[in-house]
Amino acid sequence: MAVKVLPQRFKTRAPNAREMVCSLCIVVGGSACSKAPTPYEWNLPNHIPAPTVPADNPMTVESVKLGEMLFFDTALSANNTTSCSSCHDPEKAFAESRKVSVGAHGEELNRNALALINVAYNASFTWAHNNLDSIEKQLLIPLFNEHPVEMGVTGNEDVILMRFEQGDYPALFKAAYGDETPSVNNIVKALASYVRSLVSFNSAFDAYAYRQDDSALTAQQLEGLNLFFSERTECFHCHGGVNFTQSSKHSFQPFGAQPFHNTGLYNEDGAGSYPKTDMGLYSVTFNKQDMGKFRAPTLRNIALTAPYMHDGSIATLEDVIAFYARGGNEAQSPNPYRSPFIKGFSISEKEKAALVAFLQSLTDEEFVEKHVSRKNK
Amino acid sequence: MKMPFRMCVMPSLLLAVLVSITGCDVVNLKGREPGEIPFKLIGVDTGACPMIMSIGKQRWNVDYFGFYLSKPEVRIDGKWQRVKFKQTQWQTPNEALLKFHNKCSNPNDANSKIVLDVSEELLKLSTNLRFTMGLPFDVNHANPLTQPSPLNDSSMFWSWQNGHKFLRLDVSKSGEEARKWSYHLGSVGCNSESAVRSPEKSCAFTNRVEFILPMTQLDTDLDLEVSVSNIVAQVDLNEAPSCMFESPETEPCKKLIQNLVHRPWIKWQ
Repeated sequence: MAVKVLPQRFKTRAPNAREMVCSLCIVVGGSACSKAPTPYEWNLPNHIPAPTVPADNPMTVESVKLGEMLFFDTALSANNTTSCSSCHDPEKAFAESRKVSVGAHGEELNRNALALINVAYNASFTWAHNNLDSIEKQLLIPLFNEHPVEMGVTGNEDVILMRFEQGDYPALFKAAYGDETPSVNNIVKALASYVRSLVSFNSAFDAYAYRQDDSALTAQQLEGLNLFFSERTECFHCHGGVNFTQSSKHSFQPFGAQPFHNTGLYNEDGAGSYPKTDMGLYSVTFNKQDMGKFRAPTLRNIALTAPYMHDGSIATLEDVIAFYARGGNEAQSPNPYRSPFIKGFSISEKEKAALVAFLQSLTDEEFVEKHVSRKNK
Repeated sequence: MKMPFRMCVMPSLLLAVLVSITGCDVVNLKGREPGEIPFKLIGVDTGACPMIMSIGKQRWNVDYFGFYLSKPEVRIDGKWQRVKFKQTQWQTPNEALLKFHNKCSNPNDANSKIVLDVSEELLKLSTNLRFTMGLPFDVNHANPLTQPSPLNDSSMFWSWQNGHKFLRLDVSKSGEEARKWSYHLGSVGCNSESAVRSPEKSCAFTNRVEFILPMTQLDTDLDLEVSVSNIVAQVDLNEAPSCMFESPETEPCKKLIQNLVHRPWIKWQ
């Protein structure tokens, strides 16, 4: 049984005299009080532009390091059972193998956890939302959601913050934000910085496409690549660009497109309706045209992130291809919301295997190994 | 909204006379500071633990009930005049959180009054009081983690809508506590990123409710009554689904917002 904790509110605190003096030292360029955080280096391939970063949360080595510690720490959930990594597992490219996520109290969510891959380039967040323009805003959902409870922070802020007043945390908070006292706002900033740092551009496909390594892909994968970028399958229309999703923005193009699509996964009434439990973008905008529309996720590392679709309802990549080949579910029934790109196509078993092989070439082994080893540290 | 109950006028007249005789304008005989207006729940047993609301023969536990008010104004000589809330843990100058809590939990985590930053004289000149149930657009959508109290009360965060709940009512059936029902209201269908539309037009449903209440010019000691049963009138809590994220055009949300707009759920005692 969960321990009932009295609801308490956290206060915004005015800086104390010592902090003000420290801030002054940083302003005047001195290092007598505390070392200024180190700007973060992205180490991106030459052809990849840097992502946009909010002005009030610059990327620093220290904030990323703190965010990583927090991401894997169950202390962030009210009952100390669940961390961000419980649903965003680095072994699954920061996605999960369950159909839908389970919150700290054991309640099932409606959706499958998205892979946290190149999220820094996302033009929108979650599976379907047009009004979250930063990871910082998105993070408030898993932290504070009560229906169902995800991390369960609401009303438990003081208990949770106390856990971060010990161990390595005070020094990490001090290094990142100049104040060793943890705050929910700094926790959110650090988590956002860490998630922003999860960039993956080193797959076999990248070696082939951007480093001109002809031997990086097999003949079967090349056949799959050509199918992927063909007008027959139409895959690339929604999963296009360097991040294999239309929904991207970066530092050269700060105003990102936010396309959302109805793939025809459901058609409850022969008129295109999705189940009441999750109607996609419509549930945020209440505009009928948004019925069943979801964001096309990146396909990078997609072989690791099964099951697929927003509700984890398709188990394998082969089944996803079969789904699109038949033009969505209930394809014969009228559906005014289904994307015009979902019109079905013929594909042989051999071609399907080639397409799957191509999708497997989007796995960035180095990225996964690096983050799995950090998790296990 | 209806006129205040006339029976209150005579005792209050007497009180006003007494106040003027003693010259006390800091705390009046009811122990109030100037500008203080208490809110009282009616139809709810607030002494019980948890609070019990009776609807016909049914009894429901009120597990949470709170709402934001903003933009207080008074009308003097026919002109509306902006006034401020006194700044406290429960009020910024422009926003206040009313939060009714069952006493068995944390009695300090509750607030059942607003305090206007005005003199008693100014209130006596006022013929109307106006406020909005809800938060202004910019306050609603700013980072709640860095806002002053009570805007940083996480139980009123509405992170899926990138804002705050304006009103939150959570009830459970007495003796059958697993049966829960909730009404959460705030602006929905908002798109604050748009630079080409004014903020008010960028929410499909703003869901704010404006109140204009008459004030008797001699009477500054009345309480405001809050009727939860008026909010849920004609909604069968046994059968109706909760209304938390749904379109205001679907039931029971449609009926609930109609109740908020048309039924006098906040009125003078």
